[in-house]
Amino acid sequence: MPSSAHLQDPPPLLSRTLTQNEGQTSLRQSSSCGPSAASASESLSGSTESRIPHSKMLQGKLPRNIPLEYPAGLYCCYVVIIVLSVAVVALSVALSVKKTAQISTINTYAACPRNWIGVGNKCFYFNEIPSNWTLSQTLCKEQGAELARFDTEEELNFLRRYKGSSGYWFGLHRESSAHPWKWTDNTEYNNSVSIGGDEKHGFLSDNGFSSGRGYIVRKSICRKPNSYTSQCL
Amino acid sequence: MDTARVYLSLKPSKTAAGAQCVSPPSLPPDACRCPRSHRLALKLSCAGLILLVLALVGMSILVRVLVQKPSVEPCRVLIQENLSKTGSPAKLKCPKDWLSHRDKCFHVSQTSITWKESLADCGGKGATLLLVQDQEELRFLRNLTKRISSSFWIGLSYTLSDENWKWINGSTLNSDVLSITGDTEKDSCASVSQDKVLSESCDSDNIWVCQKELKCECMCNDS
Repeated sequence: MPSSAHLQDPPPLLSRTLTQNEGQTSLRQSSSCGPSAASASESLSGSTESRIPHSKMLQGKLPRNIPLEYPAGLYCCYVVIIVLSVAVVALSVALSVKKTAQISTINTYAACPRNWIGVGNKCFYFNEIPSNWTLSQTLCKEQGAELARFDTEEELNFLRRYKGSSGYWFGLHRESSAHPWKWTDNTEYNNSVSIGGDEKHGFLSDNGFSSGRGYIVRKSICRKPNSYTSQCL
Repeated sequence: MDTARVYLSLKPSKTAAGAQCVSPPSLPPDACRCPRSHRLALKLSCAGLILLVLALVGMSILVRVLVQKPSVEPCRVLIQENLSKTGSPAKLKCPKDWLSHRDKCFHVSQTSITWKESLADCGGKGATLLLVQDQEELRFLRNLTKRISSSFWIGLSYTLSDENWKWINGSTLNSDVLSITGDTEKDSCASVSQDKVLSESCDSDNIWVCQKELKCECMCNDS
C-alpha cells in the first residue's frame, strides 16, 4: 500500500504542469473542437439515419426483388428441363424397341449361310453343278438340308422365278409311276401342282413340274430352316 | 480537468463514427452473395438444358438411321448373257438367231418341253431335231448349251418294238459315233448331258437343238 502511495505522488505533479500547457492547447482545440464536434454529431446522426433507411431499403429490396425475378426464371428452366427429360426418355424407349426389332430382322436375314437365299423362315441353295438325284440329296444333307420342298405359295413362286430356264432336281420322288409322290422326309405330296411325265424323280421345269430318271444329271435346290427359327424353337 | 477529459472522450467517439462509416461498404457484398448462388444455379440449369438438347438431336438422328437400315437388298436374278454368234464363212448364210458351224445351222431353245413337242417345234422351223454328225459337233453344242441347261434333246429315240436306237431320219444309230447310257425298259429318248448321252423318259422336259443344212450361195449364183 505505501508503495502504491509513492507511485501515486508523481502523477499529480506531472498532471499540474501538463494542465497548464494543456490549458493553452485546450483553448486552441476548443476553437477547432466546435466544428469537429458539430461534424461528429452530424455524422453520428447521419449514420444512425442512414443505418435505419439502409437496413429498411435492403430488407425491402431483397425479399421484394428476389421472388419477382429469380423464381420466375427458375420455374421456366424447370419446365423446359422436365419437357426435355420426358422427350429423351420417350425417345430412348422408342429406340430400344426399334433396336430389338432391328436385331430380330437382322437375325432373320443373316440366319442363312453365305450364298443361301432366305425366303420367309427358310433358306434355299441353288446348286449349279449338275448331278443325279441321289447325289443331289446327299450334297444337300452334307449342308444340313434336304432337296427342296415348298410349303407356301410364296416359296413356290420364288422357286419358279429364281430358277431360270434350267431344270433343277427337288425333293419329290416315288417308287414307281403307280405310287404317290413323296417328299424326302417321306411325307406324302398333296398334289397341289401336277407333275408331268411317268418317271420317279421330280424336277422343276419351265412348264412347272416334271419327272425324270434319277440317273440324269441336273442342277438341284436344297432347303433348310434358318437358324433364327431354330433358336426360337 | 473535466472538460479536458470530455475532449479525450470525444476522440473515441470520432473513431467510433469512422467504424460506423466502414460498415456501409460491407452491405454490397452481402447483397452480392445471394445473387451468386442463383447465378450458379442458372449456369448449371443452362448446362443441363444444352445436354438435353444434344441428347434429343442425337437420338432423333439414330431413329432416322435405324428406320432407313431395315431395307434388305432384293435378290438378284442372274441375267443370261446372249450367246455370241460364231462368224459365218463367206457366201454361207444362216437365218437370223441361228448359229453356223461347218455345214449346218443350229438353233438352241430357251425353254424346256417334252421330246415330241421339241420334234414338232423344229418341224415348224423348217428344220429337224439335232442329228449328231460326230464328237466334234457334239462338243461344240455342249459348250453352246451349258449356260442354259445341263442337258438337251436330240433327234434320237428308242422304241421297244424296234429294240434299237434310231435317228428321226430313219437311220439306225452307229455305236461308233455315240454310245447311250441308261435304261431302255420302255420307250426312251436321247438326252445329251455334259459328258454322256443318256436315255431319258420322252415325257420329261429338256431344252432342245434344231438343225438345218447350210444353203450354198455358190449354187444359187451358178444357177
